Amino acid sequence: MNYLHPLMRLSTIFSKTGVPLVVIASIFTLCIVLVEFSLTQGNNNSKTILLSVSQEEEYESNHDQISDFQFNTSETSETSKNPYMGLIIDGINHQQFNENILTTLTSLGIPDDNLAASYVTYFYLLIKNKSYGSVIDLLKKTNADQRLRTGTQFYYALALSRKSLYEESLVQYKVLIDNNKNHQSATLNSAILLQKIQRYEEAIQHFSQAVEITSGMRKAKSLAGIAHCNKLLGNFSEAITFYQKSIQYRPADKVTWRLLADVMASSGEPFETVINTYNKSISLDNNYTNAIENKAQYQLQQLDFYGALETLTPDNTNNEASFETQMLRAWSYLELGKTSKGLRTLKHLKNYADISNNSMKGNNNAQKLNHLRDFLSKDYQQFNNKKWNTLPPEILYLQALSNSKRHKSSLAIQQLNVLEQQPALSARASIAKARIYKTKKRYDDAINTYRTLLSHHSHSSTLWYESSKLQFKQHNAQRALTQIQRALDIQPNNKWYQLIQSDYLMALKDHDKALAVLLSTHDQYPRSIKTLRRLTDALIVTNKLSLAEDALDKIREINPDDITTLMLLAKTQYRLERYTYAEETLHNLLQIQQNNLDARFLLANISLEQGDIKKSLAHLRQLLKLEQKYQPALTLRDKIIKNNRPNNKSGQDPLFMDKPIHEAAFQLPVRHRSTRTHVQAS
Amino acid sequence: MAGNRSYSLPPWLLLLTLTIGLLISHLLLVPFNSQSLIPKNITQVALNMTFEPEDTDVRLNTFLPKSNHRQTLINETNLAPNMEFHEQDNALGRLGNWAGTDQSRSVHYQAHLTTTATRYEIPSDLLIPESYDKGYDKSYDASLAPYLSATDAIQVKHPEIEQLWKNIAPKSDKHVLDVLSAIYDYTYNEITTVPFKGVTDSLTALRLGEASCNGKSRLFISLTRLNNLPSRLVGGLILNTGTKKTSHQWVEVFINNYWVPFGPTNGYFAELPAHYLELYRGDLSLFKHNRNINFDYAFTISQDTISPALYQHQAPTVAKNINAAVLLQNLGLTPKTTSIFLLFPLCTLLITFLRNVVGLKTFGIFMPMLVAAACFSIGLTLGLLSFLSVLLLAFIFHALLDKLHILKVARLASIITIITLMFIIALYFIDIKHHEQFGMLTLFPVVIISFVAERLHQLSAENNWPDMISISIGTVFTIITCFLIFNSIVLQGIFALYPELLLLVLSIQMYIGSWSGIRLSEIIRFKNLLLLDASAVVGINSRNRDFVYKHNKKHLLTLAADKLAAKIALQKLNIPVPDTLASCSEHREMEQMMLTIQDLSRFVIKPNKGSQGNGILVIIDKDGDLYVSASGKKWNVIAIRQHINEILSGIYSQDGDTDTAYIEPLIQQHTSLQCLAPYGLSDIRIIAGKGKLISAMLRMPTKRSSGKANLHQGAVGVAIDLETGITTRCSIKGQSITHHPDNGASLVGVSIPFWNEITTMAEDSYRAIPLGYLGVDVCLDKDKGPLILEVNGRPGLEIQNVHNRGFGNELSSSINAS
Repeated sequence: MNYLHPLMRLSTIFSKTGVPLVVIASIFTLCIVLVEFSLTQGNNNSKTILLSVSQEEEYESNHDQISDFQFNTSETSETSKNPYMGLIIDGINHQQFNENILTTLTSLGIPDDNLAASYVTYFYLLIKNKSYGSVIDLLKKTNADQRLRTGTQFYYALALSRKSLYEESLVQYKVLIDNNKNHQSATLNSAILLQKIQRYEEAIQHFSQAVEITSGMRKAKSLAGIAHCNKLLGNFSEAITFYQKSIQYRPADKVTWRLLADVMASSGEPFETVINTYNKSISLDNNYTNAIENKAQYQLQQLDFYGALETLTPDNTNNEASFETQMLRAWSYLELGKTSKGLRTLKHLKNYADISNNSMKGNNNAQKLNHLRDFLSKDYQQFNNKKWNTLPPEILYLQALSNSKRHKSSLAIQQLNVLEQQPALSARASIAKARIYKTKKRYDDAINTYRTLLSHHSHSSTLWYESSKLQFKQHNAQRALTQIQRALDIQPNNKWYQLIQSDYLMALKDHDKALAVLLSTHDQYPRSIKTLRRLTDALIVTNKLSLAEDALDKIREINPDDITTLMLLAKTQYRLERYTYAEETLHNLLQIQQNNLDARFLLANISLEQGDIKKSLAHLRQLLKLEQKYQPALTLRDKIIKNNRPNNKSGQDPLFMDKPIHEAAFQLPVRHRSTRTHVQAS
Repeated sequence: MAGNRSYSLPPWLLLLTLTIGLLISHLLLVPFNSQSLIPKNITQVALNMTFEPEDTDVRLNTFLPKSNHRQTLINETNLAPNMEFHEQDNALGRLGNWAGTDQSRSVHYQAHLTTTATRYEIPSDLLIPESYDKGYDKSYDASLAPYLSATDAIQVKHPEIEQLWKNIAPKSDKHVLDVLSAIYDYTYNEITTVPFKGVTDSLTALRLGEASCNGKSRLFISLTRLNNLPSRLVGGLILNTGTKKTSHQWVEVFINNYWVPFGPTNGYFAELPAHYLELYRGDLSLFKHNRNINFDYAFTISQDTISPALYQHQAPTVAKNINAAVLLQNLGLTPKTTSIFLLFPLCTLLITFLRNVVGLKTFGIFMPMLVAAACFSIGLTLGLLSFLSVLLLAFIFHALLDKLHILKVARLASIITIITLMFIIALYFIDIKHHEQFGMLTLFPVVIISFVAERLHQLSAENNWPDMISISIGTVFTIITCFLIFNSIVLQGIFALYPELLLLVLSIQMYIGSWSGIRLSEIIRFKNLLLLDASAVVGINSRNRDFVYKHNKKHLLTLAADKLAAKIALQKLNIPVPDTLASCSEHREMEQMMLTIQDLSRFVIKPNKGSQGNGILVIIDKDGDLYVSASGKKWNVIAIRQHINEILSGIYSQDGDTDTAYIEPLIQQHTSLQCLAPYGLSDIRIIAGKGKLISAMLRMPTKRSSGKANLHQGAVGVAIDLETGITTRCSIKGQSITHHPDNGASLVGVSIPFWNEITTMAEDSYRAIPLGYLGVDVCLDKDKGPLILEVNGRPGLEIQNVHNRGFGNELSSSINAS
């Protein structure tokens, strides 16, 4: 009992207090919570429909996206049609009226004073027939109230504008708008007229009003109108915003995309953004010349010369491409130093000066064409204008380039300084200056200029390429390599960039990488002699003589009469102890160039290696007949005679005279060629 | 004896029996359907179209929601003044047409609906049919030819489309799943989603490599049609809460006699999520209208998860009539308001339980329930924030106005006005269109909150922070609990379907009302007593129900609360009480009272119906024209007049009514007590049951209690032996002590002077005011000896803790013996 006493006391406490009630309430609450939970969980609010009873696989639970795209503002369109007009227009569309429509209408008693809709129809058809004068004559006899009542006020205002009576047209449109402030066409046309007469601020107001009351296409047009006016006012960021808004309502409109790109280009938007925008326009119409030319022009301005050429490439085979297109292509070639290609492009325009009319534009174009052709033909004497300050920028640019070619560097730089102030030619003038600095060995100036240009035009592979060459010249091969990599990032398949990259790698003794680059280039350009030559060099340096022989063979296939190649091939074969092949190669060489002393000397050595002392001495004799003082031959002959035996027992090849065989064997030709290739890789 | 006792069923049990009977009958009439309790997302779609026809008629149309296998239209309203409406329903959708004059201005359409997610399983070996018979599409009995052919915006046999397919075609282009996967992967992953608002045809989407939903969907359709899979555009809305103008388009492909949905914009393959609403099928415009009317529109979407019982009235007629939601909604109440209405009684039950069983205190009894109802509309977080903001504002203004000595009623009125004004100002900064639910805020119980702030202010003035914190926590807890009840889908459904359960609520309320057990909060308060003898402890429920309600008549309680009247009643039996120098119940009597105090330097001004010492001003000295209060503060005549005014206005009155102020001379405490507790006037509380003395204690002020003899505020309680008048034990805040905490005077074993007189006076008090359960407060005047300060009809229970013993048994036997 004593043990149970505390429990009984607790029991008393519980029965006396609210604990039991709280327990009951808690159980009750728990039940409700559990039921609630189970009901909520059971409600997945979804159902699955099996398209096939054979499917037993279960789907995973449905995950709603947190954020859904739902950009498509509901389109609205209009249903208002004048039924009377609808009948007539249907008739026109189905060609049910055989004679002149107006005559037919007149014969039908239209316009009928008792039928307002017939007036609308009548004037609509007059407008459609472009009989603006008739509309004006007929409607100016009535007052505005009458025109409003008969629904012809719009046609009156429209006809006035078509007759270039803009101010009067605006007044009439205002009457219409005063009568109905939601009149879409009147508001939009007023805005267009105001824009036409260069009252841009007012035009923006009207366009903005039009945006409020229109939908779909009209809204897109109004937004584009605001953008255009802002562009003309120099408010580029506003223009961009409104062009973008316009595109949202009319994404398939290539013109708006192009206008957006143009204004983006003018406002200095990032290069990639501008190019992407031009690409959108071109993607909507591959033959949209305005967009193609503007894009190429922009690329030219931004020093993306290869890009410009690629942009213009679809028309490459089209001899009837526009003047602008051909000129842009020629300019691009000029900037890349490909003058012959530039000239070839201009051939398509050779008669342009003759066929162009005498208009100002035609004359200007002819002048530009002639100057460009002169420059590309290296006829620099044509650019002797002393009053160069008055020249059009492009011609002045050509003159500056000519001056640099004619070693009038100071004048050229002076002219280029002026051109740097011209937005369209600023970057090109700067790069031209850098090139002059380089030629004049003002390397610091050149490097600084390139650095400045690269800070703004990092998309220009040409800039990276030229800057890298300058760095290499300054013995900074590592930096040169980094810079050419940037160029290759932009133009990964450019052969010249790849070749110069291999040169830098060779200079940095990274032969394996250089070889990899050259093999890759060779795969892309299998008939490129320059690639094969570099490849041969790399293979020889890395002692892969068999591969080098193959490469040289390929060069010989492409250019069988090249002496250097044949000589190098023979030496390689000699080193590989393929004496018969080497002998054959040298015979081929001598057929082309009989007096090649090195070839004959090598033949003598080959004969000596083959144990034919007689033949060797015969070759030496023939050689010495051609050049008595050819010291290696004399030395060899003396040795043979002295030893009185055909083979040299000393273990050293008399041909190479104490030099390691691989070095001596290729010394002369390699040195000769490497000098050339390293300097003139491009 | 036992045979004489009559037993009758308590009312709550009767009600419970009745409830069970009704419930069984109900279930027999309408069998229980668990589906009606499963919660559903109800979406409200409101379409507001506006236009300004200046000189022309208005014609417009748009597609309206309709019920089908995955969406259910519950109800809809169409408000279009000066307009005619007709609708056309066909395979394309339900087209609503409105026609009006130049006087027409707007159309307000609103629909409630539910939507279901649908997903389809496409077997991997399902082949693309080589041809489709005419009329294959049985659902609409129409040829599938249009769904396979090209349109202006959906190019099919176009070289670029064909080239694209060559590029993306899977190895096997004969199987439906492979083909659709390839098309879906391309359109979803390769075509960038951009916010184009205009129409984008398939080719443009392809050429630009970017499109919005309509361009992506069209390209999807071009590719499916190229592969001989009939497909079509579907237009509708994404039901995300908010206001928007954007609609959405996706695709349906005809597979195995089903139109299977694909969403190449948001990544839904053979499925459509629940928040997609279908409006039309085909390459159509959602809106059409005549020109030059400046048409504009906006969709406003809101969602609620409520019980189907509140809106699904598909049940048989009998059930429909029994469903309380139906009856209430016939009055025009929304489902949400209906649920609040139905669950109010349950919330009151909860509050009753929390107060009477748990012992949770709140600001205002049912105010938390009203706040919870507001939270149900605007969300718990926002609701609580609003509640606390209003409370804080009211509190601040109370404090400010108090400093300006603004009278109570005027102060409350001012606060309500200020809060209303601030609410209106706040509305200027809230976009009402996007916060329609803020309408409920106007119903926010501002008045109640203002009273709450008053109480809060009072507690803070008393520095009663523990009470303030516990009451605040209790209030927030009650709000949250009520909010959960309002949000309970099960309870919404049960009370809508079975309104007879309200009788169950009533029966429980009555049970709790008749329950006199110890509250949970009192278990802590009386834990020592309960362990000693639980049956002897009297809790508040028991005090009220067993003693006060049964044995204290209301008129006697009123008499006891009226101190002046009680004094008169006591004086009639020659029981000594403090003199009343003057009293003032109306403003015109104020001057007389002021004249009385003119020559006094030690007096007390008291409110007649005050409690817990509130409103008592003790003047202990005079300094020139200024009166010095016990706290040292100096009062001029105007300030005293102001204080009297406040008393008259009822600011300290227990019932809040106007009151009477009276003046008594300052009692000089008897030296025997003065030396024990010199920090204020001690008093002796004696409890009597039907005139028989049960218990007595001495309440001694301390510094902690600010000179008040209030045990809750830190006064010392000293138990007195009734027989001898000698103190036996003492405690402060439940902790047993032996010496005064301030001066260290020993408090146990002290003999109270005049003890016999005091007990006699207490017994006589019962004769003067015969309250069954009575508390008598006696003080000892230095000159006049014992005086009865007041009698109390609801004396507190803390005396049990002071004695460390419950007095329930003695009180019961005393009362029952009489």
